[in-house]
Amino acid sequence: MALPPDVNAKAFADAIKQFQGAVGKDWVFTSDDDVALYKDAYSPFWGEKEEILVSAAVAPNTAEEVSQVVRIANTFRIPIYPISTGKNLGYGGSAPNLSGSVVLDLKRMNRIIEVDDKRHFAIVEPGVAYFDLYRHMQEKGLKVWADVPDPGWGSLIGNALDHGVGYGFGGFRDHFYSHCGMEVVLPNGEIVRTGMGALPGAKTWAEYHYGAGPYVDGLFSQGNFGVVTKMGFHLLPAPEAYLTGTVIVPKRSDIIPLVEGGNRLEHAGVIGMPEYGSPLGGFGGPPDPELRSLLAKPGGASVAELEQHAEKTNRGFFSLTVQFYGGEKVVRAQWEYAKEVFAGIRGVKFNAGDFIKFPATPEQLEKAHKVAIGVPNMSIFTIGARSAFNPSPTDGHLWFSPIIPKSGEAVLEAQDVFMKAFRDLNMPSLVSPFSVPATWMFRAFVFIMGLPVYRNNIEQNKKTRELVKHLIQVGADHGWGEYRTPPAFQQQVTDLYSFNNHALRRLHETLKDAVDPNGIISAGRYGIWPKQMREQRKA
Amino acid sequence: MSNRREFLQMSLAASALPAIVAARPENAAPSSNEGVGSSHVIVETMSPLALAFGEEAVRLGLKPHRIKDDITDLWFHTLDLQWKRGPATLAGITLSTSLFCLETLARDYGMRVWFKAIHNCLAGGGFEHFLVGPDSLVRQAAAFGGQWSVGFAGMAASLPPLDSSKWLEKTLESARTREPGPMVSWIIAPWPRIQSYLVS
Repeated sequence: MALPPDVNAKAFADAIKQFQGAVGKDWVFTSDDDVALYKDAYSPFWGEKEEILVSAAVAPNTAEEVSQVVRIANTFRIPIYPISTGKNLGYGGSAPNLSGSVVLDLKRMNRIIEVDDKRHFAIVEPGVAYFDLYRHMQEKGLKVWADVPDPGWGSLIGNALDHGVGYGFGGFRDHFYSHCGMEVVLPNGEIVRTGMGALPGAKTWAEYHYGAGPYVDGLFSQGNFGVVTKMGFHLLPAPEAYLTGTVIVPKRSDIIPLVEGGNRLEHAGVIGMPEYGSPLGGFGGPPDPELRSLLAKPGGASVAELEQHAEKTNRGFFSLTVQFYGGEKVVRAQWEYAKEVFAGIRGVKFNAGDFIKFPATPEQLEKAHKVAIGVPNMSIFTIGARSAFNPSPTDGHLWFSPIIPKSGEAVLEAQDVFMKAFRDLNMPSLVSPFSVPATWMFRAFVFIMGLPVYRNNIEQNKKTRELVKHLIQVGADHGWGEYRTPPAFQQQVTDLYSFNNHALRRLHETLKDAVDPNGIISAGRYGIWPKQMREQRKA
Repeated sequence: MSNRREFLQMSLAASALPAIVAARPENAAPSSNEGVGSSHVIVETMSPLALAFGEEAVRLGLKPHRIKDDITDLWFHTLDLQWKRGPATLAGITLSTSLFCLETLARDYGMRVWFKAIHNCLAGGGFEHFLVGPDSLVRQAAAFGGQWSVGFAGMAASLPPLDSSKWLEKTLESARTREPGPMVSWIIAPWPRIQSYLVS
């Protein structure tokens, strides 16, 4: 067991006893075997001394119990690390930033407080997973969709607080953006409600974000200023129909008008998540043998050679799949309109895609990209998720997730910059001239890559860590910052958000010292350390 | 993929078992499978190894759930509902990714992987079966020889009481079938070291 820093065994034992008094002794976990469950399943330090270990876990059942646990932690200066359901694969799992922390496991708080399919919102506790809410809505026949991520076993609250994202319509797929109202246990144990929730008897907690006065919800996302115990979310009214279509363009530079058209449609609310790809082998796809030999030429293939290959094989260079949600007449008209938007691109082709009039048949559901129609699942783990670049999946991955502008120019620049970054380290590139960004964010792209980690290869994990650090720096040099990163890289990432001599970090630290003077909640999360650890950690 | 380090961890954890079992509250999950058949048997339909296991399981009176890589439907419509009422014992031959999902979900309900055999395909054309689990199961599995599917179905149909006091690892080789990816034979069962399960 890893004891919390500066806490002796007797004080820790006393704290555990008090935790047991607060939540019941069945819900305090201290055996090595139990606490090992909170290790990051995709840890980049597997088998190394830097691997983060927790000291215990406490599983409260109510906000009042959370409050008691927090007060006890304050008394004994025990660092605690709240998790909701603790999956978060590729971004740290349920492991804290600080070894010896006590995990505050909120899985037992799994109550769905309210779902309204007339005003389209839900209020839930942290232990509610997307699967749970989906089951509830199905059983009650509610005409609403929650936007879901991959996989669907995560917590709505945990995902939103980590700035998690989904695949559906507009702002709904930015899960923090679509939240509305919070209940939070502060580091001193006080329970606050934000937005309209601060008004006793408020009727619109999960509908109007702000209430009156400063809006503080953002402090509790990727932060360490409190423990969120309830949260509201806006939901999408269940649409009557869903339609997809694909736009294919022949030249590499056509990505520029393709994205412009996609933006125009998406920002006007015409389409859901745009999905860019490359028929030549984009996001996860394999270049064919002839193309592979072209790419293997010294200095790589020229753009002209690649475009000739695209023309010869009649596949096009880039594609955009657009998704429409609404009434049948509306979605069919929207597809016609979308074709008009792209008609000016020379050589453009259009392919009609799937059409579903809900409720979907089992066959339609089987074939559909389920997350795009609000159905949580785990198919992301299936064999189909393996790519030609990664035919034998490793034991896990780290996500490198730089945010880039939502433009074709930025996509081409990111390809060039990151291909060079891999070359500079003499490592095989995960980026090609066909790579496309993920489009989960409503107003930006994320040029995401999954870097491999292993449970039995310390040397390879070291190389992966060095690669991630290098990519983070290269991204920042070009104005691209991470939106989310595992604990191992949170300090580096947030150090780079350094405008005006780290004014944002200093603001966070000022707030931390005021709200959590003992620094008990999520020490070090996203670079915000308690005062007593700050200098040592920076060094 | 399991490795020696994981095995050592399991062994070390197992060595602490008696004291922890003694501290287990009365209303916690059962200490382990108590020598009965698996309540669920899961078969990957893309795998000849798993299909043969499924056929034998049927012959032995079990009703296998057939999956094609994705466990979502089985978990959502069956396992989740049952596990919310209490932990259960299940066995299967699946892709390693399916096991990862089941194992991750099972933890929250007071269950863990007790036994797994990782079937690595050897360059020479054979299987290497890397076994990890309680002494009794590993010894039983080591006697399957070239009849892995049949032997494992028999084990799933009639599990001995699971005793975590002594763990073993062992490597076997046998003839190989053509598989869709990294396959694993496994048993998930209630685990005494979890003091209580979190989801209900």
